[in-house]
Amino acid sequence: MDWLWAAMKESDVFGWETFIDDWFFVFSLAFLAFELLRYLFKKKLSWALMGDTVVNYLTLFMFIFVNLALLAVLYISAYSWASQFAVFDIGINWATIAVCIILADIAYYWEHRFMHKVNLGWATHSVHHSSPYFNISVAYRFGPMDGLFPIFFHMPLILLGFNPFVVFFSEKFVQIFQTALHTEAVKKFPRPIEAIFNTPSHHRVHHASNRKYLDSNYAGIFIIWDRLFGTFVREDEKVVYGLVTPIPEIKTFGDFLAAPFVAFFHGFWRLGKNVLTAKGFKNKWMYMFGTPSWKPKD
Amino acid sequence: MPSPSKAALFTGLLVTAGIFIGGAYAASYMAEPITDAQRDFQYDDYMPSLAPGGNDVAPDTPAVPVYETKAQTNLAEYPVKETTSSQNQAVSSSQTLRQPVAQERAETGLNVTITNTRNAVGKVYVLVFADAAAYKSYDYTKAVGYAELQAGTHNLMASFPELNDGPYAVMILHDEDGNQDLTLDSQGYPAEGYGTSNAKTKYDDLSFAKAAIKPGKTSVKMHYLQ
Repeated sequence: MDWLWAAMKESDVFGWETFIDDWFFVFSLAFLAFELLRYLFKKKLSWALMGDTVVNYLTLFMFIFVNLALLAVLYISAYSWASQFAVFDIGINWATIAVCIILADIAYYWEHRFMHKVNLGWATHSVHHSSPYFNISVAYRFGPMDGLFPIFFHMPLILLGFNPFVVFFSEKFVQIFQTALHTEAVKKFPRPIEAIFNTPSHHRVHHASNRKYLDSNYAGIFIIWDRLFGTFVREDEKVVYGLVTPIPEIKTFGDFLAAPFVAFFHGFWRLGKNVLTAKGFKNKWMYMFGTPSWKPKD
Repeated sequence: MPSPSKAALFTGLLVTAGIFIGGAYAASYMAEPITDAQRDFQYDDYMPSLAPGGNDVAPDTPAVPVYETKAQTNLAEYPVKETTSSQNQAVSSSQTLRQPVAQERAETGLNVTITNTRNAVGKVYVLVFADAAAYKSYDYTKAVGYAELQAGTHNLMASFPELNDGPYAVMILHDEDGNQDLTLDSQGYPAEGYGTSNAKTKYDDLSFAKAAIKPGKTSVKMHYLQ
C-alpha cells in the first residue's frame, strides 16, 4: 500500500486528471453507440433522439469555449490566490486525494442543490435538464455558466489547505462518476450499492419532471448526502425526463439548427426576461435569487 | 416532493462544515507538507499557447537572454587544469541561444537552471552526484555530471541528457578567483557563491536525501555570504 502514501507532484495530479477525463470521454462515446443500438432494437430510436444527441455535444463545445475564454483564468487565479490563506498544510498523495474526493462530493451536493433552488443557478443548469432523453450524451449537455458556481462551493476546500490541483482533480472525479450514471440501460444495482452510492436509478429520479420526483437526489458519488440532508426519493414510478416547462421539441430540420442555441441560452433568456419585466425591486430580486417555482403574487 | 425546513438546511450546512474541518484535519496527518519540488506544474506543457502555431514556436527573445552550454559528462576531460583566456573564448563561442521550446522539451535527462549569479567574473561549476558519500565529501571524481559555464548575471543552463535515473543532488560553485575551488575566508566561511539543489537559504546545509531531485527541469539558486 506504499503507493497510497507516496508523495505526488502537482503535475502528476493534473496528468491523472487529463488521463481519466480524456479516456472516459472515449469510453462514453463507445457506450453511447451501445445505448443507441439498444434503442434501435427496442424500436425507440428516432430522429428527434439523434438530433438531441448531437445538440448535447454542441452545447459541450460552447461550454468548453466559455470555460477556456472566461472561467479558466478565474479558476486558476481564485484558487491560487485563496490557497495562501489555507488553514492546514495538506500534502499530496492518494490518501489525501481520497479524502478530498469525499469532501468535494459534499461540496458538489450543495452546489447542485443551489443550482436547482436558486434562479440564477437554474438559468444555467436547466440546460442540462432540458433534454427529454436520458443517455450518456445528456451528461455532456452543459449550460454557459455551469463552470462558474463550482468555484464558490469548492473554495472551502482550498481554504482548508487542499492543493488546488487536488481539488480540481476531485471535482472532475465526482463529475465523471456522475456522468456514468446517465443511462437507462442499467435498472437497479444490489441494495447495498443503491444504499450508499448514487446510481443510474437515483439519477433518473433526479432528471425527472414527475411531480413526486422534483428537487431530489442531488448527489454526485454518494447518495448518503441526500439521505442525510432530506432530499432522497426512490425510483418507483416511470420517469418522464426533461423540464416541467419543456423547451421546444426537435421536429423539423430548422428546429435542429436552432436547437443548440435554444438549449444553451434558454435558461438565461428566461431569467433575463423575468427580471426585466418584473415590477418592483423585490420581484426582480426574487426572479434572480428566489426558487424557480416562485411566482409574483399579483 | 421533499421540502426541508430552514432549520434542516441550517443543520445540514453545519454538519457539512464539521465534516469538512474534520476531514481536512485528518488529511493533514496523512501526507508530508508540500515541498517546492512538488509544485512543478508547467503551464506551457499543458495549456495551448495563444501564439500562432501553439507551443511549437520559439519564444520571443527573452528580456534576460538565456544561454546554454552543452555540459560535458565525460569525466576523462575533467578536471580542467588551467583556465586560459583562449579556453574562455572557446566556451563563450560554444554558447548558443536557447533552442526552440518544442525541441528543448524533447530532451531527456537533467536540465539545471542556475539563478542569482552576481557577476560575469570567472566560471560557474555544476556538479551532479548520484550517491550520498560522494556528495557529502565533495568528491568531484565520483560526480556523475560535470559542467563548466562562463559566469553571467543571466540564468545559466546546464543539461545532462544522459542522467535519466536519479535521484541526483546538484552542487554549484561560482569560481570568481579562478582557483577551481570554493575559496574560504580567514574564518573558514565561503567567500564565493555556492548552492545545492532544494536549498532555500544560504544557510541550508542539506543532506543528500534532502537535496535529492528527480531528472527533469530543476532550478538551483546561487547564494553568497559576502
